[in-house]
Amino acid sequence: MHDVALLEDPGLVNAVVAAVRLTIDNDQLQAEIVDQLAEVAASRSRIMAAGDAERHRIERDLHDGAQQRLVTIALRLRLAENRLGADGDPHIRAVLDDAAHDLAEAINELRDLARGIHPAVLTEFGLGTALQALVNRSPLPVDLDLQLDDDPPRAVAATAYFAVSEALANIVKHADAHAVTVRAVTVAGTIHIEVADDGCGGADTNSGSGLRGIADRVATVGGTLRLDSPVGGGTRFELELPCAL
Amino acid sequence: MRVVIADDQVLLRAGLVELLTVAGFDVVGQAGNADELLALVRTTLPDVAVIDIRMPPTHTLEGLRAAQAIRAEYGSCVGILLLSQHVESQYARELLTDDAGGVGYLLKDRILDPGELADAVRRVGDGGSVIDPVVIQGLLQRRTSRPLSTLTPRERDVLAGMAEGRSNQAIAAQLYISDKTVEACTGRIFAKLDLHPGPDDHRRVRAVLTYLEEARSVP
Repeated sequence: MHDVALLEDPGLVNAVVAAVRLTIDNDQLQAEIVDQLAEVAASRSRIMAAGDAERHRIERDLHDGAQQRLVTIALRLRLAENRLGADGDPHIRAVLDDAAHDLAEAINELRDLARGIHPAVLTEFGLGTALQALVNRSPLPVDLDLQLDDDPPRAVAATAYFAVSEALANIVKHADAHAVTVRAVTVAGTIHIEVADDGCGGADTNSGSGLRGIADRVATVGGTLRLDSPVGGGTRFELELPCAL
Repeated sequence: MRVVIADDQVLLRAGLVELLTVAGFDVVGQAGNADELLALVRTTLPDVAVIDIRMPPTHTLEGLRAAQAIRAEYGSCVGILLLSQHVESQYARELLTDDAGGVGYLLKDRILDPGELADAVRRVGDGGSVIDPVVIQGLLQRRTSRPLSTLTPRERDVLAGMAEGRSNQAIAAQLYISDKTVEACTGRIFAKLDLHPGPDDHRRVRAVLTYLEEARSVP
């Protein structure tokens, strides 16, 4: 099916052929880009999952390895102290006592470190309890509203936890706030999280590496992050995370 | 008092056995995992089982689950003292699900203070309850609800003692004040926090813990 007029204008035919070819090339390129993007997204979430698994492993190693050993060593120092008996050299007793105290402090530091790397309460009791524990530890009064459904996939739960942890840490450090609210609600398979304070505002996702890291995590699980922080008007940190990955 | 000990770390377990034996307890058995512990409790029926929360195979909550199984089968006949590395109150909460006493939750580091450990085992064996002071401090540290901030420093100390599972008498001894003063303090605390005192120390622990965990800012 063609128009005879076309025969008299080969230039036009060539132009059309070139345009069609270009479109086909474009489509192919676009398809390739879409494929590549999907691959990058998949590899990004694999990297994050691997990172999380590694953090979990390190936490367990610290907990079950180093920490237990330190407790055992400290306990043996206590036993040595006991065995010295009442008439033992008080100098030796003092050295043993000091060493046990130092170890107790090291154990405390190690516990905080392990929890910062990956909180056991998150793996063992799930997101709701872990958020409750975060709020319990906050030096500021926090009003917590939890309405979460079943636990989301591990990567989503970790993202939600670290996001709230970072938001609360920022509030304590910078916001000069008096009241903080944390809300975590599941609606139709999406977790909505909101951390709001009445502090000085002026936060933005580019200012600290912490928030940028959170933004990356959120994007990796296909979520969205919004930060509303007018100077002098408090900060509202909103997060939406789809539970199905 | 007859005691069994469950911990998969052999050296640590041996240390615990020695400490408790020196403190006058009769250590009647040891276990390295939850199954061994359950069998051991069945055959020895101890007054107290001292249990590490993390045991094989997964090193997460095996000890806690075993404690709950013992609780379900023997009630408060067998006291439970759980040792843990976690300072979060949620872990302690899992043990305090019924009204009967005879349960305790201590940080594992607490075994470095032999006196404190022995005291905790004894209290649990006597049907009391014990919550680690660090866990309670964590809950008290947050500048929480307004009612809590109306407490005087003395009242806060008494509240902490109550939450740790101490009797009025023990709180009095700890703070070097008279029983009467503690009694008066607890009365004022209950009034200020709008709490209803439980009929025994254990129920008092639960009431106070629940209050502390749920305490929120008041606008």
